[in-house]
Amino acid sequence: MSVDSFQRIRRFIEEELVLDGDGASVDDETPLLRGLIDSLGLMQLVTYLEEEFGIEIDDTEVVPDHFRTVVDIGRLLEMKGAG
Amino acid sequence: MIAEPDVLIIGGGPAGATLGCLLAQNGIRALILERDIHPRDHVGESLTPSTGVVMERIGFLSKVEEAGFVRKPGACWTAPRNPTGRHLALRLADFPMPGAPRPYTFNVERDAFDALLLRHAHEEGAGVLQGANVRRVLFEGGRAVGVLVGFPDGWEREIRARLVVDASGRRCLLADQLGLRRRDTSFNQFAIYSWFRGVQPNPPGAEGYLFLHFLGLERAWGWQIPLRDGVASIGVVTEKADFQKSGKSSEAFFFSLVGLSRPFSHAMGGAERVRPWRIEGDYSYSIDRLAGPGWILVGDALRFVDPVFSTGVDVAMFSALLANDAILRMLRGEEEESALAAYELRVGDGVDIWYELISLFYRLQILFTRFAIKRRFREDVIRVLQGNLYVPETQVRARRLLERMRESEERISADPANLLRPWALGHPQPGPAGDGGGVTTPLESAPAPRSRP
Repeated sequence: MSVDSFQRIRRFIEEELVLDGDGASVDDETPLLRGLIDSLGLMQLVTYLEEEFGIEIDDTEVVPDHFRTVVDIGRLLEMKGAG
Repeated sequence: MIAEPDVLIIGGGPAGATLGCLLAQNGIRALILERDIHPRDHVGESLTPSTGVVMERIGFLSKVEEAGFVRKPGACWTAPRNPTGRHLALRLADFPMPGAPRPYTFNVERDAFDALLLRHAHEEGAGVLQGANVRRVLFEGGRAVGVLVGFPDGWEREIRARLVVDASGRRCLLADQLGLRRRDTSFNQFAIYSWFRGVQPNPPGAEGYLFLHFLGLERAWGWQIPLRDGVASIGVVTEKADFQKSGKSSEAFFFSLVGLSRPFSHAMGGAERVRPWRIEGDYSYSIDRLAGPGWILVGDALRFVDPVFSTGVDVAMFSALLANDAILRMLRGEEEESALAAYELRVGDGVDIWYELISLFYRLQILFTRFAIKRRFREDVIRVLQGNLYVPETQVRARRLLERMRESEERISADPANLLRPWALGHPQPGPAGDGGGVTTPLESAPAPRSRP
C-alpha cells in the first residue's frame, strides 16, 4: 500500500473517528481498538475504506486481525488488491 | 348525523381523524367520538415521510406547511463518546420516496397537529364530538352495532352505526373489551420525556434532524426532536428494570441517562424544562385480530411496539387509508368478511415488518448501523424507514433487507472475535444503577489478547 494511502487513512481516523480531544495523532502502529475509536467509528472506517478504495469488506472480515492498527488495515487492503 | 351515522369512530387522534376525513370525502356519514377536548398533549412528535402521502391525499398537507412545523430532513445517530458535533446522518432526500410530495417530513407538536387534523376532518364533513367518552362497544349477536358514550355531565346514550372503528390509541378500548390484547414481554421498555428550552441547536447542516443518542446501555437511547419556537422534545427510553434497579427518582434517572452520552449532555447543558415530566412503561403489545363483524381497529389501537423509528403516525394514517378502502367496499355491497380479511392482511403484514425491524435494530446494534451506511444497503434502509410498509413494493424490499440482516448476523455470530457483534468494542455500561457508569471496557484490555498470525 502506498505511503499516501496510509496517510489518508490516518488522517481520516484522526479527523473523523478519534473519540477524545482534538489534535490526536495516529501513527501506523497506534492501537485503534483499545478505546481510541468506538463501534460507530469503526463502522464509519469500514465504510470509508470501501468507498475510498473501491473494495468490498465482508462482514466476516471486520475482525481485530484486520483493524488493530493502520498497518493491519493496509495488509487487508493489499490482500484485496487496493491501496 | 349524530342519530345514525354509517361509521362510528372512537377517538379523534391521527388515525380516527384521517379515517373520518376520508370517509366524509367519499360521502360516508362518519362520526368521531373524542374523549378529550383538543388540543391535548401526545407523545410522538417525529413523523415519517410516508405520512406526507396521506396528508396530501386528504388535502391536509398545505395546512401543515402553513402551520410552519419544523421540517425534518432525516435522522442523526450519535455514540456515547462522540465529540461534540460528530454524528452519523441518514438523509431522507438521498433516496426520495416515490409518490411522496416532499423530500422531508415534519416534527410536529402533537397537540397542535392533532387538533389541526381533527378540525380538518370536521371541515371535510365528518361529525366530531369532543368530551365524548366511549364506555364500551355494543354487540348484538356477535356483531358490533354501536357504542355507549358518556359525557362530562354524566349523561350517557347509545349511538348505533353500521360499523364501529376503534381509533382509541393505546387505550385499546375494543381490544381490551374483547380480551384480544397481548402484552409483549420481549419489550419491557420505559420512557421519560418532556419539552425543553435552551437545548443546544442542532449542528449546522443538521437543522431539523431528529437526533438519536445511543447511551452505551442495552436497549437504551435518547431522542432529541427540534420543535418550533426554540423548544425541543427530549426523552430517554430504557429497560424498565434498569429504572427500577436504580432506586432513583424519574427526574434523576433521566439526567443520569443523559449523562452517559457526551453529545446528549452537551445538547442538554443549558436546557430548561417547560412541561411536566411524562412517563410511560410496558407500552408494547399486539392484538390478536384487527377486525371482526362490524368492527375495525386502526392506529395504536391495533398494535404498538416501540417509538424508535417514529412509526406511530405512519401506522395511524395508513391503517386509516386501508380501513377507508375496506369500508367503502363493504358499504358498496361487497362481502364484509373478505373486505376485512384484506384489511387485516395488509395492515398486519406492514406492522409485522415494523416489529421485525425494531427487534433487529435492538438486537443487532452496530450491525444495523453497518447496513444503514453501507453503500449497497443504504437505499434499502432509508426507503424502508420512510414508511408505508403496507404495499408490496416496500414489503418486498423490507423483507429482503431483513433477510440480509439475519444472514449477516448468523455469519458474524460464528466468529467470537468479530467486531460487528454487539458490544464487541466495549461491554455495556453498568448503567446509572451501578457505580461505574460512563466507563466502557475496551476489548483488548482483556487478558490473553488474540495473537496475530
